[in-house]
Amino acid sequence: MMKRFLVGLLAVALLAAGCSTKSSNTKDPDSTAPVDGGTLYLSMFSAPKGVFNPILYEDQYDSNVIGLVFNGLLRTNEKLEWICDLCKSFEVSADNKTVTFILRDNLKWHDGKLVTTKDVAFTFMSMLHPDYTGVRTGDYSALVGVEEMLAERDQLGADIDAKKISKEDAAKKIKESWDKWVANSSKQAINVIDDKKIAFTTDEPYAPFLQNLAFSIIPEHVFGSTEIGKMADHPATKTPIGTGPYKFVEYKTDQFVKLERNDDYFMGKPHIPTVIYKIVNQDVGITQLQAGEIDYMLSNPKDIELMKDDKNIQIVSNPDFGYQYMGVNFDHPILKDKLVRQAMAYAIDRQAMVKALLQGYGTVMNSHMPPAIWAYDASQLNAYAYDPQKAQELLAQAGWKEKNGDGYLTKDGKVLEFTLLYPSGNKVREASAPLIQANLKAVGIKVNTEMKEFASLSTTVFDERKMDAWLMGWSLSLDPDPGSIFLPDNKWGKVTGWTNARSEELIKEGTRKLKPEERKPIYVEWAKILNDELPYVFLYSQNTIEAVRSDKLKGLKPDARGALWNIWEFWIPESKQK
Amino acid sequence: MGKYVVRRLLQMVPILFGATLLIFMVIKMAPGDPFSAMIDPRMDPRKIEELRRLYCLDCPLPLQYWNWLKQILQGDLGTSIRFKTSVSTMILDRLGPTLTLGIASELLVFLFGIPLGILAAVKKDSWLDYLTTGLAFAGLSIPAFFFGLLLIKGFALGSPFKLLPSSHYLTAGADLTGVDYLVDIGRHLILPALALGITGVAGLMRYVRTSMLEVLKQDYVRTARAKGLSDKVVIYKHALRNALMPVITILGLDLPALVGGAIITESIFIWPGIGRMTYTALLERDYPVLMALNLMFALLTMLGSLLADLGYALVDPRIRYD
Repeated sequence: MMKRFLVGLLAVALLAAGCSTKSSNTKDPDSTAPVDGGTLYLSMFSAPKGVFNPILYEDQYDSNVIGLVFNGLLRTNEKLEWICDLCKSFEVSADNKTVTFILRDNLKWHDGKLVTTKDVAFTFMSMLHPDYTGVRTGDYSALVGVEEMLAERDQLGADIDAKKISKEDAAKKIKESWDKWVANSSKQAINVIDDKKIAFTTDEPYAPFLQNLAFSIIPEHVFGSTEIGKMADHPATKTPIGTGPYKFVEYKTDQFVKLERNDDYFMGKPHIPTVIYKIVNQDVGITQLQAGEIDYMLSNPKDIELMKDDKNIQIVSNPDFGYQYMGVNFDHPILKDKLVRQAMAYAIDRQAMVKALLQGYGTVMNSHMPPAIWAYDASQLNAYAYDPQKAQELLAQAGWKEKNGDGYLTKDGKVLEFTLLYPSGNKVREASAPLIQANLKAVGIKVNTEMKEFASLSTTVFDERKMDAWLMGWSLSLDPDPGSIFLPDNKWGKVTGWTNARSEELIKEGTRKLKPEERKPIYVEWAKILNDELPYVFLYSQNTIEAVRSDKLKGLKPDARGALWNIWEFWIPESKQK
Repeated sequence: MGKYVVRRLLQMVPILFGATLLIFMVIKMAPGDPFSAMIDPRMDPRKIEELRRLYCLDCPLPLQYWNWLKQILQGDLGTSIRFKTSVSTMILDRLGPTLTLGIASELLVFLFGIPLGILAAVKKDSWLDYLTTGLAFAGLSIPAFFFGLLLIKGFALGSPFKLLPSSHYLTAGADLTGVDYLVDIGRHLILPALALGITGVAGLMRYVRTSMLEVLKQDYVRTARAKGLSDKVVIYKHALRNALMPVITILGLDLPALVGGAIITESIFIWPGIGRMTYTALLERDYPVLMALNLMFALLTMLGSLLADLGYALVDPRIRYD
């Protein structure tokens, strides 16, 4: 099994490598020139909410559709570096504080209107507006004057909570601070130079900003006359108008989304006229893929076994931007001891989890950076290879030497015991809880497991902090900056209760430099601190696995961006167009 | 009769009020709110706090309930926090497919459940009785999701048959109209209706059988037979009407379920029903959606029991309401 998996990975790697130099799909011997026609059936496992507005959506299922309909200023290349998408060129100033974009010529919205820098400015201004009802404001706090305005808003919020000010008065003050920012700083922060040229300036150099500016742009001529607070009610939030390779046609509630090609797409007219994003049941999807009812689905590691002999299905596996962990509460008298956490890392057979639960489609994690992120470097980290002996030594060092009648370690009459909460929903994670329990029992740690529904668990953990330890995952984005999760002054950073001065220094330093080669050593050093301190017991990162009907879909160039990134180049041979 | 109905309807008002208050408290007692499942480091925690204040999630509970009640009394079901759309639109979007599936499976239940039940009772202890009873037990014990998957595999995805669509309630992107559109929905309806109906058929069959057997033991049936009436007349004219009393109860109690949808069947067949929507809203603590749905379910439950009571009077002349 393992061998076959390696061969499979190798094949994918070769294919990806081969594709970056040649443009034809090497897997298909009788491929000829691309032809137009046919319908592409993509799939997703849950229904989108129908919020197809990039600045308002919250669900990944909505973002699947948004990804085909909209473009940002930047996109990634096969090495996951930022390159131009809507822009023709972009430039970072010498002081690393200003990024200037020049838009492509003759860019058109799906309704035929020209895309201008007014649209770009409108998109980002909307997300900063106090009436904005989405959750992305914080991504732009680095812009000139914005953090000051947001801190003021936050303070007023705290005053409302403390009943020092009424909601109405606070709203007035928030509006004033917005007007002040618009009048004083906005022109400097977001500078529309002309129809094609726009510059963004930050207070301090802030590296993740490029990623945040890559955000999908929405049309000003459509939303401009609507109050920002009412944007969710605008029809274009349900039936979006974008710039992407596919135009939105309709969403049949809980059924499918129909899209048709954008003849004016700036990367070239797509070959496939219609794309239908079907909602499918996860348990039925695989058979539908094999029967040809859908051409693409995301797969579980365990389902690969069912497809691996099917010559018509190509598997694309990539490292993911997320990972799973066991979090610990530093207020817990036992878990705050570093030796105990390290002992647990040794005692939990994470390699076996990757092998058994992920069929090898994953990586054991030993620090915060998952392998998809360029700052990942496992060579410098302690691997905490499965070693129950070592775990017991560390526990003994921490004073846990005596065993009670049940075989659990004790110290001063107290048992080495804690409760592990885990959420329902993710099958692999659910399966990992009893494994952790058994592994820790073997070294004398008593773990009581308790499964909770996701929202209840996250309330217990993130809002009430009434937990000992819990299982969950972080899903990250391309930029390695871990500030939102590990700076103790924000919500996610507070949850464990772990603080480390050096870590904070390094995180801040990491965002001040813009070049990856300058940032990487900082993050490698930072990852080593986490690797030693283990504020989370890191578990594994599961690969993203995509299954594609390669007999029908031609022109694929799967790489680190996945299988669908060049959808406008896909084509369907006439025999398969039906 | 009319007076009785009016009285019952008036009684519903305070009960409904009490029910919503109770529902509101239960929903609010569940830990979390619409934003607590957003564990994404790129979602701005400060903005989330602002939104909590905007939607008055930080307000005292009595105020929150009062706000909701005011809105309802103005005929507004509110706006979903997560779907960002009006709750009435969300329900209306799914009502048609939900009723289609609900009624189709209910028809199946009555068309098969009643005759099979009668048959099993009349031919008690024959091979036919054993067969239907055996099948009923199988039908009751087979999990709906498993039966659904079997149907899909057997009849939609080609092992052995590829006769019917495997999911959805219409063909994706086909843009059919008129008769073709109805035929298309009909074809999509068969498998989910079967999957949903099977338990009901089995259950109703058992009810009818038991109730029929009981009635057949009654004195008046013996009298009827003694009069020399034929079996047919005894069974269908004298016994059946009385044996169907429990069926009316079931029908009445099924009313909310008809509109409430069937979460498992809807999930397997990707049917755009109210069941799945309810489940999603529950997981996401989408309060306006949950409150509106529960209000609707409470109302339908009460209407259902009223209809059942009226139904009794219709079948049983001994029952009179005045």
